[in-house]
Amino acid sequence: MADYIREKMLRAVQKPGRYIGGEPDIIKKDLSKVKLRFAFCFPDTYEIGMSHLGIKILYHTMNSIPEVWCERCFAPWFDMKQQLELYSRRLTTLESGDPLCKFDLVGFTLQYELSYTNILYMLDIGGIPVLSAERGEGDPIVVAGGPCACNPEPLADFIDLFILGDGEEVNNELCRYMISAKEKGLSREETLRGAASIPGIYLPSLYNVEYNPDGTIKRLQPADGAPMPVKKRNVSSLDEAPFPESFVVPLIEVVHDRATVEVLRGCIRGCRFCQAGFIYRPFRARKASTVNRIASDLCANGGFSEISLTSLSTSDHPELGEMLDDLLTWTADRKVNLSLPSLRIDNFSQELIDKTTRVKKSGLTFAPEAGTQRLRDVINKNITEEEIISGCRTAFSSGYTAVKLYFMMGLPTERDEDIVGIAELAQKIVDLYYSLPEKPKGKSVSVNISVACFIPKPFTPFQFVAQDTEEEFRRKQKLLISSVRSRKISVSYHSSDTSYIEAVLARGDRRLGRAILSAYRDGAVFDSWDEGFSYERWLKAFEAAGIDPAFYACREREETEINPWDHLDYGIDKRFLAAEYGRAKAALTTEPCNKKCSGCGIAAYIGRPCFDN
Amino acid sequence: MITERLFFSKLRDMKYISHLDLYRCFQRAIVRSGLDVWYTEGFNSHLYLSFPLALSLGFESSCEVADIRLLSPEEDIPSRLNSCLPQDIRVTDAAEAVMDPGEIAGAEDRPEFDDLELSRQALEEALCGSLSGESIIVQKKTKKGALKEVDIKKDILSFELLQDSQLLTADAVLSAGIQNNLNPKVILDRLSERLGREPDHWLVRRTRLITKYGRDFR
Ligand code: SF4
Repeated sequence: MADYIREKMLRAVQKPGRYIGGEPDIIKKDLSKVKLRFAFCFPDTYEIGMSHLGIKILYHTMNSIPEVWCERCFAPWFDMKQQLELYSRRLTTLESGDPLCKFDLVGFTLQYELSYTNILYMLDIGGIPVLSAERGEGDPIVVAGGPCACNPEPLADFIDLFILGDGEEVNNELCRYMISAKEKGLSREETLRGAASIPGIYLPSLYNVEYNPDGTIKRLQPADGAPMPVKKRNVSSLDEAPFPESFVVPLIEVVHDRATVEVLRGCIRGCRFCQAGFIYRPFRARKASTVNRIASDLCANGGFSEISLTSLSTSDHPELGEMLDDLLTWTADRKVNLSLPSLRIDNFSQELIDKTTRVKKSGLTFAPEAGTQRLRDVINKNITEEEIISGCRTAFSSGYTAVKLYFMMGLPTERDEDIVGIAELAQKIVDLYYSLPEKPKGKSVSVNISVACFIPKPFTPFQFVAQDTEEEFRRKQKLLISSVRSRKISVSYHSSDTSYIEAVLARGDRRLGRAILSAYRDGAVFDSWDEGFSYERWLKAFEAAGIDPAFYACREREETEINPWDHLDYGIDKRFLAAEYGRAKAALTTEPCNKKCSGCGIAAYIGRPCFDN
Repeated sequence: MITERLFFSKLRDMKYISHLDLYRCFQRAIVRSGLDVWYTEGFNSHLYLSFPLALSLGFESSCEVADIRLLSPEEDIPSRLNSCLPQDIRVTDAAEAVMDPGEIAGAEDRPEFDDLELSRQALEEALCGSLSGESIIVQKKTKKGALKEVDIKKDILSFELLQDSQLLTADAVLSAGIQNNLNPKVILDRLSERLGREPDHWLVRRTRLITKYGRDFR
């Protein structure tokens, strides 16, 4: 008999296509030959998760082991949540339709802090106890990796094992280890202990944290034989790192539906606010020829009409020109467009415009991040006003009429003139447009400035910094609005509420687990969505857990203070971070890594210099 | 240039793939299959693909059609496309289009129903009762959003129960196409109205497209 309830549920939700799987290229395996089942969970909707590159890479690397079956699972939207509750059904993977509780390993990717409650949500409706301590022999082992794993402490109560650093190799090692642990009949406890000796695996329950009366960390005590510090994993060659030849192509419309190739990992720039710029060090490039081959395979196998070359700063690729030329030999014939999302304004040239997408000449985005040169020096965003203006001139002369500029507010040492500076910079761009004889005829310009609230993150020189208070953010937002004088300039900014919660979770410690649990019990899911986020609910949760959120977000930390993530080794020396913070306060810039090594520590960590020169 | 008509089925979970998504899915499959197809001219050039009759979300079909334009004759079109399509969307045949899409006048649908609380007989009585009578008046939204009463009796070209089916199943021929189009969902709606709720199970599968002379649409 057909599953009548499943059909009822699918008919009751707005986008049933999210929950059915069935895409071409989906990987299915014969369970009788599978020794380990891995549920790869993305704690957000199908559309967001399927736009993410990491899940595509790891889905293929894990499934390349014949006896491992890695399946996908996404967070059900509110309408489906209601249906699952109504019929007491469990969250299942898309490939087999089995509930999460049936898997050996359930893995989450930690992309943003506001997805944490969705992890609890998915475990809960997947039939798995949300607290690690309450899981028993038959329950899956819950693992998590991704950028937020660099400070995993707030999730220590819920996740059994964290995976630090690049996942391509360690995920497969973990799977193989798990198969042998199962074959040996190891207990849950023994299995977890054994996994902790795989480099890059962090078992939080092996570490005991003691606190000072003022709330700071007094000591972190590893259990006997537990590694200290715990080192992140690093894929030595990006060029040789596995990359899928085809993606699972979604049947419904997702956020990014295109062939994505990671061309660089790590970044030479050292922007002081940027966590990715530090935790993904060292800088590694994929060869132009490899990028070309991957892109061509992906387009042929997936029928994509767009290729996106991603990285933190694509224009820093050492073979950028060659790479684009190679791609351009076939993309036009095959009706494929090229897009480069992470361009820096300083090497935005006419040539580059001509080489990238010919369609959609409407919008262009740049990220000066701060409104004045002084503040850009503080954050080490080494871009000058001349470069911004000349980048915009290039854009306008080649037909663009809209520019979007990304800024942050609440940056260290920020003064009111820096906020006013944002508006002034936007004004100069408007004026520039009208001064150009070659501007597009009869069209007006639009400059959109998008201002985020600065969130200090671990493993950055600003990890020591106090976040601005909400009142400060609000005052600065008002100041910015009142400084804008042209109707060609529009301003959009992020809510300070979400930024505050994100800041607390980003630099939080294990005690936050109680607050996360309490927020979830009180209904928090999809916190990164307007439909889900409730500031009041979070404040209530902190209170219930006896936690002062400002302690985590709005407090300047001494270099000598033990941070919750200090026992995790991402190869970045804390003294280097402190020194960089010192230079920031003096508005001194630091050169990009390809010009001069500033000794962050990663070269020693990998045992060779990052650059040959 | 050849207008090639693809005949395909859309079954099981694929009934939840919307028309727009189906369009993209075929577009992808055509690119992947390497068929030598015609692209529209102009700024936003895209491959030509057209579905003569849209199927509503939630219905299965074994008789869908899609038109593409080939620049040169191609072999093995169904198998080449099927290797790039989801399991439950299968191209069953491909041939040069014979008729104009405007000739579609009717569709044969197989609605099936089941209920865990009602006997088959009770369900059957409700179903037949809901469709009997000289006229069948339903509320329809006009383009301006107002409600209007229409008699759909004339659009039910034939309706009979299948005798040897496991679940209560009807064979209904309804108006379809650009002239008159009756969504098979009205049968379910009539039944639900009568029962005061939806039956526990319903499924509609479209099985045949016909012209006004009762011939197969080719
Ligand atoms: S070791 Fe030197 S070159 Fe390498 S990432 Fe650190 S600062 Fe840059």
